[in-house]
Amino acid sequence: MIRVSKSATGRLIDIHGWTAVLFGLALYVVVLTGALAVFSHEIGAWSVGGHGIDDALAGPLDHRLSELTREVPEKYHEELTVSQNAAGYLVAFFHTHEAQAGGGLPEDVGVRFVIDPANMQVVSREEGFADDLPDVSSSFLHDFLVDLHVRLYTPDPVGLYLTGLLGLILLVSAVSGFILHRHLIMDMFLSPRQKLRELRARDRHTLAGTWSLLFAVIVAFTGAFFSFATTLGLPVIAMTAFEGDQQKAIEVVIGVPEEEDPTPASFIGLEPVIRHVQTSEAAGSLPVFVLVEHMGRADARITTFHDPSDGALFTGSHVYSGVDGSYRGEKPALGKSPSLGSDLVSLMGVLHFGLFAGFMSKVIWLALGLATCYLTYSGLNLWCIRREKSTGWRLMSRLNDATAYGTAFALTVASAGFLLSYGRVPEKVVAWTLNGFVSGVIVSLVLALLLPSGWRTQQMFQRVLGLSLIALPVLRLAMSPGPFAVHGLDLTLLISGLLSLIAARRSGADRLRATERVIRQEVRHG
Amino acid sequence: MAVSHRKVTGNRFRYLYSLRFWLATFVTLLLSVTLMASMSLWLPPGAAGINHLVIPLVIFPLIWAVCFFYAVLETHVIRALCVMLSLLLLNGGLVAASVMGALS
Repeated sequence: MIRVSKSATGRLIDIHGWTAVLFGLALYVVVLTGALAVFSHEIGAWSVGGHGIDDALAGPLDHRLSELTREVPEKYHEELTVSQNAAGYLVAFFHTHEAQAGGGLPEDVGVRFVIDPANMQVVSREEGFADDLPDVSSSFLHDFLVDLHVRLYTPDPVGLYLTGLLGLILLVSAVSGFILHRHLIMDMFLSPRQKLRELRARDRHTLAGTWSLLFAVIVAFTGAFFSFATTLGLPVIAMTAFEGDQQKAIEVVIGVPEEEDPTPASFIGLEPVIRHVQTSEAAGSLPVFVLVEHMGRADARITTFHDPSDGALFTGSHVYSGVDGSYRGEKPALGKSPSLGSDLVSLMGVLHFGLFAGFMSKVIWLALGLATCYLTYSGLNLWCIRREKSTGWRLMSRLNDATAYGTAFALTVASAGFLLSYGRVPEKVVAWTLNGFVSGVIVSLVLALLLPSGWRTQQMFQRVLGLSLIALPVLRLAMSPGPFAVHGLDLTLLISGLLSLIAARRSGADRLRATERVIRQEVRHG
Repeated sequence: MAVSHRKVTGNRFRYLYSLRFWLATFVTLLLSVTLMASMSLWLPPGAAGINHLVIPLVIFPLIWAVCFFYAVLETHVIRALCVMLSLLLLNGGLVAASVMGALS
C-alpha cells in the first residue's frame, strides 16, 4: 500500500485521467497491434495459406545467389542480407551505403530480390534506397501490422516519436494507476460489483490493470526505448561524445571492425556456414537473418543472427570468415566483446517481443496485451460514464467504442482486402489492404456516430466484429490453397468471432434484465 | 461577465499557470535528455567500450519517468524546481563543455 498526500493523489488522478483522454485512443491502436504483432510471423504465413518451407535458409542458396551477385553492380557487393519473410519467400538485398540527394546519414541502397525457395526463381527485382523500395506483396499483411504498431503507419521519424511518446504515456498511466489503486494483491482477486454500472466498470478496470501492471510497465519502457534510441538518443549521444558524427557513433556501438582488406578473394558461399552454425559447436539453430560484408574481398565476413534457442534468454549472432568459412565465434549484439550495455539491449528486445520462453511467453504476451487494450478502453469509458451528461463526453464515449471495436474490425477488413487481392491481383495487394483498413475505420466511425450512444452501439460493434472474424477463415480457405488451421489461426479466428457474438447476445440479455428490474421497481413504488 | 469568462478560462487552462505543470513536462524532457547526454561522459565505458553510450539510451525512459514523478509528487514545488534546475545546469554545463571541445 502506497501512501501519498491528498494533493499528490489529486494530481495523479488528473494525470491518469487526462493522459487517457488525450492519448488513450492512439495508445489503444498501438497496444492492440503490438499484441497481435507478437504473432505477426504466423499471421503472415496464414495470409498466404501457409508455406511448407520454414527452413529455406538451410536450402540450396549459393548457386542462385552467385548468379545474382554477377548480375548486380559491383558496388552493391559491399553488403548482402538474406532472410525469409513471413510468407516463406527469401529476400536477398545486395546494397551499399549512400546519402540521399538531400544529404543526411548514409542509407542502404541497392538491389532487392524476392526468391521463391521452392524453385529458387526470382519473383521480383527492385533497385533503389531501402526505404523507397516498394513493399513485398507476399508479406504485406505482416509488414502492415508491424508498421502500424511501430510508427502508426506514418513516416519516420514522426511515427517513432509518436509511438515513443505513447510508450511514456503508458508508463505514466501504469505507475500512476499503481500508486492510486493501493491494494495490489487484493485487487488481483477483485470480483466486479454488478449493481451499479459505474462501480462495475471501475472494478473491471482495476482488475485488468492489476493483472497487466507489470506487463504494461515492461512493454511501455522497452517500446519507448526502441522508438527513442535511434531518433533521439543516438543523435544526442553522437553530439556529446562524437562531436556530432552519428555514423561514427553507430559504428562504435555496433562494433564494426576497423581494419579493412580490399584484396580480391573468392567468396566461400553461405551453405557451408549455415550447415556449421546449426551444429552444437556454434548456435545449434538455423539463422533467421544472414549478413555478408565485403563479399569477394579478403576481409569478407558472414554473420548469422538467431532467435533465442531453448534454454537461452538472448538472441545470438555468430561470425564466420567469408573467404574460408572458418568460425570466429559468437558476436555480442552490440560492440566487439560482451558487455552490460549489449546484454541490456538484448533484454529489451526479448522482453518487448515476448521471446523469453518460446511459444508460451508469446501467448502470455498476447493475452496481457489484450488485457492492456481493455484497460485503456475501460479507463476512458469510466471517465466518460462519470461525465455522460455532457454532449462532448458522450461523443468521446462513441469515439472510444469506434476505436476499440473499430480497430479490430478494420484489421479484419484489411486482412480480407489482402486475401481477396493476393491470389488474383498481387500487384494491388498494398492498395487493397490499405483501402480495406480505411473502409473498416470509416464504417466504424459511421456506426459510432449514427447509432444511439451506449450499450446498443457496443452490441452492434460486437456483432459486426464477430461476423467479420468468422468470415476471415472462410475467405482465406476460399482464396488460398493452404489447409484449414494454418498455425491454428483459422480456428482462433472462428472462436474469437463466436465469443464476440456471444458477448453481444449476453450484453443484450443483461441490459434487458436490468430494464425489467427498473420497471418492476417503478411498478412496486407506484 | 468579463470576470466570469476569465474564471472559466482560468479554470480550464489552470495547468498552464502552474509551475509544476512546466516542471513535469518541458523541464522534465529537457533534464532527461541532458542527463542521458551527460551520462555518456561520466559512465565507465567497460571492457567493450560501449557501456557509456548504450546504457544511457536504454535507461532514458526510466530517467524521464523518475524526473516526471519527482516533479509531480514532490510536496514543495520550489524544492523540485531547485533540484531539477541544479541538475540541469550541472549536466548541461558538462554537455556544453564536451560539445565545445573543452573536455578533449
